[in-house]
Amino acid sequence: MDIAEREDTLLSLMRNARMTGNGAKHADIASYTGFSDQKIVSILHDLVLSGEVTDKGDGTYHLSNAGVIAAETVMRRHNILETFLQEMLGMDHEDAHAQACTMEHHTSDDTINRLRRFLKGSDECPTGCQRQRRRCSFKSLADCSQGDEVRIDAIRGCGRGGRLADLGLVPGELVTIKQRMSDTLLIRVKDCDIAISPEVARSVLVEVAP
Amino acid sequence: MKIGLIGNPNVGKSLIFSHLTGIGVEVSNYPGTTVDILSGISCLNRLPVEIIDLPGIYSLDGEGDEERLVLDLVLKKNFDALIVVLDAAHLERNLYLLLQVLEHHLPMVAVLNMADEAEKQGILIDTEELSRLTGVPVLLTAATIGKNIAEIIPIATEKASVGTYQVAYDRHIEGAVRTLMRVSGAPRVCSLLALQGIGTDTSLLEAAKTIAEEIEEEHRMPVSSLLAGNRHHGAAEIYHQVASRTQVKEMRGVDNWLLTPFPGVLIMVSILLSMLLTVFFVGSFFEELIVEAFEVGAIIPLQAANLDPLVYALLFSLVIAIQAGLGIAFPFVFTFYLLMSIVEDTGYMSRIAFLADRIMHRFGLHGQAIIPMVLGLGCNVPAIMAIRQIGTKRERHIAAFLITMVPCSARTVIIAGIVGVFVGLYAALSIYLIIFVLILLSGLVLSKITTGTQLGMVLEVPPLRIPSPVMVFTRAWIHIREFLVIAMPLLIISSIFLGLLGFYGILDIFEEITAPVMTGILGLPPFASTSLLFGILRKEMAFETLVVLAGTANLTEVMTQLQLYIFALVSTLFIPCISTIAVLYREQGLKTAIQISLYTVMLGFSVGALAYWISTIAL
Repeated sequence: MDIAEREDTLLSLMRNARMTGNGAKHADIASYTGFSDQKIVSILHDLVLSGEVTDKGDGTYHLSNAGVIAAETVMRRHNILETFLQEMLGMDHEDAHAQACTMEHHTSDDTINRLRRFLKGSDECPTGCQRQRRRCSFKSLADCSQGDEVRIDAIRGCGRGGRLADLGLVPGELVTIKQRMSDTLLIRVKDCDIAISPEVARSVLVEVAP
Repeated sequence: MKIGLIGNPNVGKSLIFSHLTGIGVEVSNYPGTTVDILSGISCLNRLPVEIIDLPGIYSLDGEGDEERLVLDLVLKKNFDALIVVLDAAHLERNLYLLLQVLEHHLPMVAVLNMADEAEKQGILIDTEELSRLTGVPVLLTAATIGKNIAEIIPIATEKASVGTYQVAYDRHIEGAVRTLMRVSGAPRVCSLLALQGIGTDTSLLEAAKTIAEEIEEEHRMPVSSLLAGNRHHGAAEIYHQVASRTQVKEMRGVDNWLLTPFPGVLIMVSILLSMLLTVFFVGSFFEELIVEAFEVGAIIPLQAANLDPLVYALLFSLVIAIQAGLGIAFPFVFTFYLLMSIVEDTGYMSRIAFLADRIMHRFGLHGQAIIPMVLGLGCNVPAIMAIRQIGTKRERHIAAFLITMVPCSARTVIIAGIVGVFVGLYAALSIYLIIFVLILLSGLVLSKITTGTQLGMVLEVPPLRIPSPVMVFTRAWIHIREFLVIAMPLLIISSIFLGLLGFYGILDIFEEITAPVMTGILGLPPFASTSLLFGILRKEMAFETLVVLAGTANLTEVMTQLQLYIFALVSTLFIPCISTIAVLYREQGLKTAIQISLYTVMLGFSVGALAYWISTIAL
């Protein structure tokens, strides 16, 4: 049983449960997933063993609590991927759905979380950040407090960008806030201490903790 | 043989330079810029080797004057070999510059300085591995204890080699570089620079611009940030291959005190105050000696020589100009720079900038601007030259105004010599207070009315270090020489000019014309106008001329305490000295120089008039 087979089976069990309110026969699952009867039997057998599916004995299968959780995770991944493909990349609904169906099995949680944040962020500030800074879900260095360790997401705007990059403030770099005096920050990047003014700190966007 | 020293600021480059060259260092201004370059001669097997200390930079493709200048020199292949000085204790960040320099394919050596500091922090660096990865010889040194310094020149002259490491850039960048190289035949490094819009070849720049726009569209990031990211990535990779770190407990005990609002600000204020007091006491002691020596050695013989009146007037002007220059320059300014160099070399200066950032924002400035302001306490001339480091036009404009109001050591002489001696210590302090308040108010107003953008401070705060006495002296010497070169000729010319005016009786007419203003509005005797005029030469000459014109050193015989107070107040605020005006003109342009001069004249007179008016009402 590979990841795709397992997850597809879980998903179809869940869909079936939502539509009919009952457990599914293995023939139903086979028609959903397109796997052969034999394969379905062996997959279901494995799932029963792992405790995600219960066999009622009357030829129907139900999701256990663990199974529901697992299926919901896959479902969430699928939805986020589908939304991203459709809304952000402008794909057809059908194509987006089909792509999401194969991508959902191999996308890491981190990617999904980032995509989710990306979608959320772009919902909230469709016109870019300059005008609606308050409402935006981005966080800048200026919003961090003393002792925080954060990762740089992006450097916004012009001005001191070049000097910041030369000093090691590039996206992906870890920054520690060593000292905060009112809004002026003393940060540590690559083992070096750098003092930056509030307006510079505001131009350095950092990752929001998930 | 010509060797260039290149490296980040605060890596001990200058100390290595002074170890290599000893005395006889030459400061030169590179044409078209105002960046100082030091050069000196070292000997190897009886052959002279010229060593150039380039200004400290973080990157070769930045926008600063220093960066442009170094890039220019490197591109012209001005050097037979380059010595890249890196800080072993902060190697990862320093490797960034090394990788950039490597791209220029010049013979070079990497010197990992601060080996002692790295060792203390538990950092071990495999120099052989670093040499293998980069393709250039690597030498571990510690300039503060003189370790391996003697080997630098032999290695640089004999073993310097062109590096082999190449940063792996993003594939779009690599593609663009290949295209540019094929189309224009430019070397790789020029194509990379052209993508960032740097270079002189217009057709290459045009081609690069189109490609760069495409890349920026694709990545939603400027090309320069992409390059920087890739280089930092490369640097980090190398660093993790060559350095290993044993955990040592981090020591930043002192910084915990220095960088907090309490007691950090308190410490800062007391350090600055004690600096001023030291300058004042040490300075006035030596000033007296020097002035006395001139008095006995030059002025008295001159008066006794019975010369032709015109020749006498000329010689006298010349002598008092030199007397004033040396009497101020050496005792006050040199002491000040000595202390200043200590503050700079320990790394405390950037801590001051950090602490002051907030208050400076009120004036539309930022923390870095405190450095020239503090320098201004010594002399306004180098302070105004230091403004160029602080960013935008708006910030420079505001800083120029405020710095010319900062009481320099010459004005300290007036305040102390007139008010401190004849009126009292508290009265002298009150003048400082008035000036300080006026600076604050001017700053607040200027930040409202000056147009332009504000960028803010990005300043590295180096670890605290014990300064080397040699470096402190060298730096103070370089400062004072700069000061003498700018101030002395002006001083002599204007002194002679005023001497001639006096000789032909024009000064008397001037006094007559200004008398109503002097007596009516400021309540001063008519001869005060002449001494104010002389004050434009060098501020403290206002005091000296006053003594000469009054005909007695005991000024209370001819003027009341109130008159002395008002005189000191007006002459300290009044128009900057001629050297300051000259340097303002050079650095900020004619318009700003005139604006500042008019503003300070107005300020001096109105504050003086106000003081007189209040006193007439009160008394």
